[in-house]
Amino acid sequence: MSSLTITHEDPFEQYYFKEEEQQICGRPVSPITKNYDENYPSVVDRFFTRYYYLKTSGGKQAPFQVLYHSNRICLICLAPSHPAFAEGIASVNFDVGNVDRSQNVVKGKAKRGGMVLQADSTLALLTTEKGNVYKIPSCIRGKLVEVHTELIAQPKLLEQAEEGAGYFAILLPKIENCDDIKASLMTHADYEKYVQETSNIAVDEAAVAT
Amino acid sequence: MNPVMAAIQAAQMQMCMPYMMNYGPVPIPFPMQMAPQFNSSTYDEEEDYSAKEDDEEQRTLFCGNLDEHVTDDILYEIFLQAGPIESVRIPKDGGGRQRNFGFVTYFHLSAVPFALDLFQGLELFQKKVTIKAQAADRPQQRQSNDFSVPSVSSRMRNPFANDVAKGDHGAARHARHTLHDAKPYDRSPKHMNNDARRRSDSAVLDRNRPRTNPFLQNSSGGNRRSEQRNNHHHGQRKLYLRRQLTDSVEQQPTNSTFCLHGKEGRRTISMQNQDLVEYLESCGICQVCQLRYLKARGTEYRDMSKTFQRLNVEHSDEQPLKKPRLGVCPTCLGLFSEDFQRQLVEGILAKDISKYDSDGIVLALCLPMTLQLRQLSMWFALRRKFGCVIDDTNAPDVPIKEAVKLILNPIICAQLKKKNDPNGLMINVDLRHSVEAGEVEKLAKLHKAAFPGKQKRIEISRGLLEKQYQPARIKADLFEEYLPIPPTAVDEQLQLKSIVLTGPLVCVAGRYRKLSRELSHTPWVLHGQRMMEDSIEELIIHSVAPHFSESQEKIIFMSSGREDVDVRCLGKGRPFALEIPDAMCSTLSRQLALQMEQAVDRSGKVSVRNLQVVPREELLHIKTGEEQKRKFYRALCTMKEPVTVDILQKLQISESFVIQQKTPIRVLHRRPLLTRPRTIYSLKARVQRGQPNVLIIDLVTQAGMYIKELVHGEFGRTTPSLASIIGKPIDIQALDVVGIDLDWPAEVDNAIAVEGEAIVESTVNSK
Repeated sequence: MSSLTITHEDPFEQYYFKEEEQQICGRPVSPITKNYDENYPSVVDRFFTRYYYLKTSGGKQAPFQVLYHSNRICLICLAPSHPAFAEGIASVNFDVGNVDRSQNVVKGKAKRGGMVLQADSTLALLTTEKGNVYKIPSCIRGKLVEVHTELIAQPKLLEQAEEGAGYFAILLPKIENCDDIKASLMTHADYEKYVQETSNIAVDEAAVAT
Repeated sequence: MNPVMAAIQAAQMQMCMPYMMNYGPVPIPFPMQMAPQFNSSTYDEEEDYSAKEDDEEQRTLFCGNLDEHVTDDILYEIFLQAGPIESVRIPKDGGGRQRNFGFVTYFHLSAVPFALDLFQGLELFQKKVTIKAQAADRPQQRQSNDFSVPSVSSRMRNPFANDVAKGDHGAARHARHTLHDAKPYDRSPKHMNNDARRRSDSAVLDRNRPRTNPFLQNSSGGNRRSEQRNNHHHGQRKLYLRRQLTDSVEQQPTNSTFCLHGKEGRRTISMQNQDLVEYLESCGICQVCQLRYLKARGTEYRDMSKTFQRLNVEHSDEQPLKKPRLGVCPTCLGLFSEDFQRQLVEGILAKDISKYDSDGIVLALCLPMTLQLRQLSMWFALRRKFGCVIDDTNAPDVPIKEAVKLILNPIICAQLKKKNDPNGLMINVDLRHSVEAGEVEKLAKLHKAAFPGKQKRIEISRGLLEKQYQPARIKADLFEEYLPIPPTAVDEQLQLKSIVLTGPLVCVAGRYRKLSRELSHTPWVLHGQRMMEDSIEELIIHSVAPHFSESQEKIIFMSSGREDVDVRCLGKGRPFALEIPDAMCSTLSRQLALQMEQAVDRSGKVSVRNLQVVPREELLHIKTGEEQKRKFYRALCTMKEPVTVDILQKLQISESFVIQQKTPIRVLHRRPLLTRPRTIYSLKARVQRGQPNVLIIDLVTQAGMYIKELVHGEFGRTTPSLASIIGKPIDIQALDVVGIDLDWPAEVDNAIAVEGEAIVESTVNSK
């Protein structure tokens, strides 16, 4: 890049990395920069498997994403094709009527005291700028560990955030339920098919409409 | 009566306070009264200074075995009886808790021996207070110089009496302190006489020192120790004086016979050493145990006949010369017999004790419970014979466990040519006896009968025996229903059941560096399957352990923190330590250390240096201050877009700041969810030439921070994160630990040391 052409006025000059040489076990230690991998996977790709959950309400389907960590911890997010993104997100509320999910407290390693949720329990309420209210489901059966309360103050995070950073909550399913849960969710491949189909339908509908 | 005095009474003091009872409360503290005395014309300042400085220790009394409820005030009030007190001090330990001993410093030297006399046997809160002169080895000398009082018995009357007795021994160093007129305790001459008369009348048995020597008592040529004992004895009598008089016991001079009136019948029952020994002998008790019942100490067991002589005990018939009867002592079951000692030594030598290089040994005997039962039975027997002279809570003998330490330990050590060292090679000896099973069964029945209320199933254990089974808690008659009093003789000696040698615990410390990004800290097992072939722990143990121990299973590997599987540890390395139990060898030569280091290095994954044996106490360096340590890291970070100068500038931070870090998701399943504040001390980012989206970031952080999460922020769960600081996504690809801020263990370059030795050797050879 530019560093090759302009050598005398390189703004990075003082920031260039120089490795100190070191010998351990009678061999020079390879510099850390040798570990650079251009195609290094992202945090989500490294640790999580993507699953999806479809919630049908009022004849409309809304997809949600479950990031399944290798240690079975799950992050509940909106799927990229969730209609709320198109409508613009106005607010997030964890007070789902009879209970306020943001009051969830867990103690100790065993996460005692966390609310136990079913797949269709409502985690939060999402209001779009169009005024539609979407119920965010828990997607899986498990114990509520953490609620992303930051979303209450900054609902726009959902739109801007990197993949995963727009999580609503962290859930911990029981080990023995894990296989069932995974089987009940939509895999990433299925989800892509589903997105394709729905967009086709949308296109068809649009075509029909025109 | 003032509140403190009330407190003392509440403390259930077991002693009488003759002065108090006779003359009301203790007079006001002495210093005020005597203050002018120091300014008197005869007062030689210079000499006094040196004397005072010198004898601060001499004037101090050590009080041990204090109950936690004993306060400075209580000590002051009690010890004031022996003379004016300069200071009272009960030290506190690190946690602010009171230690179990204290110091009382008197104004006057002469108060110390008087107090020693007066308070011997003092009990506070039912705990017997140990009272010693602080300068324990010196007072004897001093006494013989300063208090050249001919008669021992008249010497220890009280500090003031001393002064009178001395009269014109003006040259004596402390004369000016002690010879003064203001003597609050110095009653009228009449009182003095009274006192003296009573003393000769009274006779009290001091259970802890049941020995007098009438020959010594009246001669000045006896050894100092027994002299002191006699003195204590007199003091003790004085303490019991009041009780004696009020009980109006017959007052006849009893020279070497100790008397204490029994609880029942107000009779005077006497016990002499001779009586005791004769009775014990009639029960078939061996001589060692006889000495135990005479409360003999340390070296007194070595030459037993001499000790018996000194204690004024004669063995009527010449028992030692005769072939001892085949009967085995019923109280020790032959534990102290020479035959048993020989067996024991042979048994130990039969084990491969030479395998261990330890100089020190410690003998751990596991004794059958019947020994405790037999002690109790003998206790009952003695109480029957001698009545209340025998205390019902403090055993009449030197406990077998202690006697083993005093008698067997030195013998075994001498035979094996080893020192006695509690941290040395432990010789665990399990002993058994044929009567054990039967007697324990009877004990179980006795227990049901004796403590019927306790429905809980209590297993009969040694601890229970020790706690519950005392004459104070159980009736002799009940005991006798199940077990004989006194203990019956047996035909068989104790038998050796097993001897197990356990080597000392050796700690080896060093620093390790980790070069592989595919090496776990400890064996990584998931669902019962090894995930990785090796681990740091195993690599190090495999090379170090064989020198110290045959089995590697019980070795504990610990380190100052740990790194992830894919993180290298470079620089000086991470301190670690191995705790090796049952070690055959407690040292490590430089040469061997170097060989071990080289062996680990050959793995190419881990390198070890500064390998050395360390004292166990030093291991706390590894675990303490875990969160205070600074750690130095280098991280390889990548961005999706080329790095700009602006980003680099944002990542040059030299002032420390605090971040809030939630437990990372990757460990959340096994750790509690917490938000931890952690400090970053400095940040320095650089860019790789030719790779514009690669950052190399050097961080100095507080220990306990998750660096990977700090870089990418983990979905906003760490704030601020490097990602939030630059406002753009950033990820971490590789991490190295480059330094750990812990100067332990000491830097030892085994290679250089060995080289040095080699050079010395070669020069020696060439010569």
